[in-house]
Amino acid sequence: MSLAIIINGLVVGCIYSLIALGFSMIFKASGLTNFAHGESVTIGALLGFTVLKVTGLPFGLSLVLVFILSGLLGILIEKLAYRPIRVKNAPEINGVISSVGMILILANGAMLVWGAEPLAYPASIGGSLFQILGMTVSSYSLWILAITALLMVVLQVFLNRTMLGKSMRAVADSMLLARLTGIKVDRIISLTFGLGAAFGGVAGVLFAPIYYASFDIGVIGLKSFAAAILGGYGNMAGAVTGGLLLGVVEAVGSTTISSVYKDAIAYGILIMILLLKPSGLFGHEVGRRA
Amino acid sequence: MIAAVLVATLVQSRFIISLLNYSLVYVILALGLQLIVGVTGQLSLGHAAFYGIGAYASAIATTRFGMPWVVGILLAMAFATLGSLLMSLTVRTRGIYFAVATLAFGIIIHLVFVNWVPVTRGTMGILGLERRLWGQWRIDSPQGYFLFLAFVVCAVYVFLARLTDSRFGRALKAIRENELAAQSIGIDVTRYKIKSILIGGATAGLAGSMMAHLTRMVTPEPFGWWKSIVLLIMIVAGGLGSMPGAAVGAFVLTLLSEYFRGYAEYSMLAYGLIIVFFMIYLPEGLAGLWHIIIQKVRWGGRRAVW
Amino acid sequence: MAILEAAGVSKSFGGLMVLRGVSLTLHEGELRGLIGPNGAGKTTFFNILTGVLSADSGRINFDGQDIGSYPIHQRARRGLIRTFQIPQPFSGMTVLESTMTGTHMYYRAEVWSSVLRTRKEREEEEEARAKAKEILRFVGLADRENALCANLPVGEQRLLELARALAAQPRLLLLDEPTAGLRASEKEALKEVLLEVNKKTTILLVEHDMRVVMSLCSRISVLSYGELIAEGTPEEIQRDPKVIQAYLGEGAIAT
Ligand SMILES: Nc1ncnc2c1ncn2[C@@H]1O[C@H](COP(=O)(O)OP(=O)(O)OP(=O)(O)O)[C@@H](O)[C@H]1O
Ligand SMILES: [Mg+2]
Repeated sequence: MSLAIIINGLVVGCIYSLIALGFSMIFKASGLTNFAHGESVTIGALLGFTVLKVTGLPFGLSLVLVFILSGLLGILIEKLAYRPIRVKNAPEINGVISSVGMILILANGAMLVWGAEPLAYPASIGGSLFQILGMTVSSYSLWILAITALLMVVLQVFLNRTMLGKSMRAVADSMLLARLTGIKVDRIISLTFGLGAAFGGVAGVLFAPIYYASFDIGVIGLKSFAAAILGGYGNMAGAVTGGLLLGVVEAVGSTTISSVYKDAIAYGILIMILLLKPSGLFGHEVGRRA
Repeated sequence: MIAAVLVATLVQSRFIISLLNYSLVYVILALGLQLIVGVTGQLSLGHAAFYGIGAYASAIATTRFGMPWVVGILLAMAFATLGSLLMSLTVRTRGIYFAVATLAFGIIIHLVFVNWVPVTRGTMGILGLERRLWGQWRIDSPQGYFLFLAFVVCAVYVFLARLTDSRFGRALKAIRENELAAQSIGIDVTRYKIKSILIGGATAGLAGSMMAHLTRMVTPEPFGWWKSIVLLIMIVAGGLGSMPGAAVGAFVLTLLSEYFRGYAEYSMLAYGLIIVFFMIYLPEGLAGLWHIIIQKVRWGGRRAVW
Repeated sequence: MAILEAAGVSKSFGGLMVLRGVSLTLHEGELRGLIGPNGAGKTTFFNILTGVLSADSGRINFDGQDIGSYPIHQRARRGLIRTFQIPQPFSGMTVLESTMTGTHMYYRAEVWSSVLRTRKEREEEEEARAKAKEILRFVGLADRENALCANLPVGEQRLLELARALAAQPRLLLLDEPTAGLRASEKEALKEVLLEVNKKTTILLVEHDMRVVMSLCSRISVLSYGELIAEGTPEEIQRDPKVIQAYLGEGAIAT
């Protein structure tokens, strides 16, 4: 099997990682598994399409703009759909069901706005192909790898160095303690939703050129969730490793086993992990919060 | 049942009857899912898979092997139960993990429907299903089909309502309310969860056969994961845990969405809004609303505790 | 005859040794107290006895059988029934329904007999209902039958726990602080109930209220930092310097 397949896997893996990060972040902060998180990818990809087309901004700037817009949308959605349930101390299942409803709202809302047809990003973004170490690689793949790496570094710095980031970590560690130390927990949770959605949105913009943008690409969220579990749910480094690993396994699996069942491979892995080692491959203790 | 006979004789409009037929199939689906999600508390997002398995089993048995529909129904239920048995491996996972595992399971099964062309004929689907119940006995008129469906729905309803209101049902509810406490009084939690999933799956298989022979064709399209979610919405709107709620929720929502078929793009959006709305403002669903009203009436509006 | 023999039960969470070789023998018919300062490991011990947690080492014999590897429900089926320090109600059920659920193991009706409402099934249901009502009357919740479990105040939650456990007809009943949160009058009533239960059932009682323990129990075991430091009659325990030492600074010995 060639190295190119692995590189391809890593590229898709980067996308998974970015989305998986959002899942883990949101879960850690609020205890909610946001099923609709995949839709931030959809919205991001479609927003990116519009931004590129309408403003003609360069790709990099569009990325930043989508990051911000998705983030704001994430915050808004948290306020409208999740907070009212969370503050009522309703059973855990209610929040999850609400997020399932959000999938329909976001995906079908997107369809009404952008239509049902897949939208292709300008071909120029795909970048040029070139040879390295005897493989053909697109420059865009390298961009994805680079941008993902950059985002990871920024996230690390943000979480470890800034006041806001530290508050987020505090809330994730213990909501109660954070509240006692005077952190505005609700605001932090809301921001975490925003940050997660922003990462999802960027993932969408990065993903669209190698796929397409459409109202129904949000299912990628479920695979990314698989990635988050694979690496240990709620664990940032785990989300990234899980994403990359899933990308590679899927790429290798679809060339060696079956390409029509490519998705089935990812979901099969998900079920296996949930059954055999729900704490993730490298995980010790994760899972439900008290 | 009497109401059903009346409806069948009075309503002549094919459109309305077929609308009712659709709705009744969804009532069966929702009732089965209610047992798993509402009564046992296991958030299954894979219900459409068993619906599909039932539809295909019945379609293949009757078209390819020329079996009568009754056999198709039995096979539909049998295969759906087998499929559920496979899915019930996931009962070892808890809470949200169970939801995710069943969602993934449903997607895999759907992929099989689409890609296992020799058996399912892929997206072309299986066409020309007959309604030959047994021997030369057929149900061809929409009214006849309606009566038959109404009978099946009643049977399923009585079955599940009685089951819920019994020692068995109490064990399921105990699991929903508190697994640890349930175990501590000797309830074998795993076994009951599996049974509940098998029974729910079998009813979904039955519904699959009903839908297949109603539309006389089977394609993979209606059995995707979003269908599982739509079913979930129906029971949430009706009220989690309530069998009458599930029936009403499914009936009303299907009627509405079929009636407003012209606005299909909006129906999913509306479903989404409904579920979020209910979770925020009325987590007990229509059944909860009903209780409030009853209480208000009974207590002259003095107390509304329930 | 010994109904329960725990030998050398140890448990640690991470680096924290919570139980250090606890050995405890209960005889049929006993009403044994298990006391100890907060965090001594009493609840953890219950969790290990009932199978909620597995011990790192040690052996648990119940009724002559090594039950150490049995899952929770199978231990319950042998008659080892508990209540919880933090009540674990079936919130969405009514008080009567919850108590009827307690009788689960004593009946057979499964899917088909429930659906067909066979005569046997109806008799079973009738009997379960009657038993549950009787138990509710016994613990003093008769007038709350139709209330939703979630809506009961703390004191009644405790009684509800007890009712559900009694409905399961324990051979050995493990009670984890059944009087916590009860008013003095309620405690007195509960003491009567427990004495009555004890006529047929062995009880292991974890309790912080010394007056309750001292007046109810014929023997008391004391757990401190995961070790059994004393065992004896209430008088012996109250005089035991090690016990006084363990409680010192907490001022928990009331009398
Ligand atoms: N699941 C757990 N993980 C980690 N530590 C635990 C766990 N359960 C209990 N502990 C710790 O073990 C110790 C003993 O706890 P336990 O609840 O058994 O005490 P207890 O004697 O019942 O106390 P109390 O009188 O307050 O109920 C405590 O320090 C507690 O923090
Ligand atoms: Mg305790």
